[in-house]
Amino acid sequence: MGELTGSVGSRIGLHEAEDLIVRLREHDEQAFAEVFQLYKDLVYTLSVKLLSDKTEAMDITQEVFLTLFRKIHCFRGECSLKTWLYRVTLNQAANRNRWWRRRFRNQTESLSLKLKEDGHCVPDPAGNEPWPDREVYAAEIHKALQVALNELPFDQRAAVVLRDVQGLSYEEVAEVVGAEIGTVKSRIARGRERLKDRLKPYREGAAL
Amino acid sequence: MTCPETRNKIHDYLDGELPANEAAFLEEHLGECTSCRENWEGLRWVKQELGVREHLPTAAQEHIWQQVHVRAGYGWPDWLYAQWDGFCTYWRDMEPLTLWSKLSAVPVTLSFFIMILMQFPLVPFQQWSYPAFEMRRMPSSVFSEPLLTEVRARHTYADIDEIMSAAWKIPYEDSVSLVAQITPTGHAEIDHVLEYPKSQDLLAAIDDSLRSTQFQSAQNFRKPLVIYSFQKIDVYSDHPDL
Repeated sequence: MGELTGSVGSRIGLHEAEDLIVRLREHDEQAFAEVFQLYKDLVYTLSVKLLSDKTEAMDITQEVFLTLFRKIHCFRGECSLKTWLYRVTLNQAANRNRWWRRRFRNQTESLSLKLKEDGHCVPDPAGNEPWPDREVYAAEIHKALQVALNELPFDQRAAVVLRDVQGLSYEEVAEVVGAEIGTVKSRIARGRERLKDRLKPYREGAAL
Repeated sequence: MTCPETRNKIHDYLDGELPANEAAFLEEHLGECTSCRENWEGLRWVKQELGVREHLPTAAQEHIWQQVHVRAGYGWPDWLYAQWDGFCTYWRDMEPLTLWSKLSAVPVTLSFFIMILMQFPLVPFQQWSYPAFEMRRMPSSVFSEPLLTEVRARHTYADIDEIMSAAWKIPYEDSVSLVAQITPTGHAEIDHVLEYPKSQDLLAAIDDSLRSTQFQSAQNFRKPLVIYSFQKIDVYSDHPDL
């Protein structure tokens, strides 16, 4: 009986997902709000990690949900809605990346990477509180990680972020990126190796 | 397990996708080999640091939600979204070289269509005005005295009740032109251009002209002609002094 209830429960979940897509296709505002609440942080995280720019990431989040609204009729249901959203985000980020690279984006410094905007605690010199060294150091590492990510080639960056930040499986990453699993694995491996080499001083500092 | 093997499989191990027996061998090697353990620690640290998730700020959430709501344009037909979206994507994703080559075609195409449209002007060319090229038309009032207001001749034709004449005098030229517009009763108007050297006496010249066979036969006049007035005198010139 318990098994039956469990299976019924999972099937209800499936039906709900299908129902959500049907309602999205009908441009139901409520369904749209639900999807937005579900996936906004995923999309935002992915784009922040891919572009190292929060403003751009917000812009991309907006574009992705707009695309979801406009192009939901093109969604054939061959993959999950989440994978589809990831793919849209990745395409948008790739476009932006290309656009920025043309204009020598890599030679400019992103202002949004400053500690203050990273949401971490920035010590107030005039305040009475002691300096929270750890948080400052964590913010420092976070910033360095973003810089290092930004230096990776886009395909490696995408693969690493999808795997390590979003926690997708190799198959899912391959599906989102549109490449073979072997290719994805090698991209992830190369990306991680480069990140590791690049961040070595920070790791040693953190261990002390 | 050797170091190269470990390096190959360490990422699978890190992702927890290595089979248990291989994982055991790998762990064993990591316990023995310092450089591999160092590598493993580094990779694990990177993965751990990467795992931090971002959260969309609340203010941004509301802004994005509003923007999407507005830009999604509730009530628009689907094909319009698709068209507009396609248009934007097409231009946004274009390579710069292609973009410029396409943009440069715009003036060429435009001028082509303008040339075609010029074949069918809304206002015929004959009615177009060219203010810059128009001859300056000077009213006779610029002169203190009328050049020629009334000329009387000895000749009389009884069946002519009105003679409308205009004299166009062109200063700074060697000759003077008169256009006589002579209207017999209820009949046709005839323009006759008379041209005289300036040295000649004007009245005598007119007299001579009006006597000429060409003028008389054209009018079929039988009686003496009286030119009693020049109705209108206008002076046209493009000379800068006028």
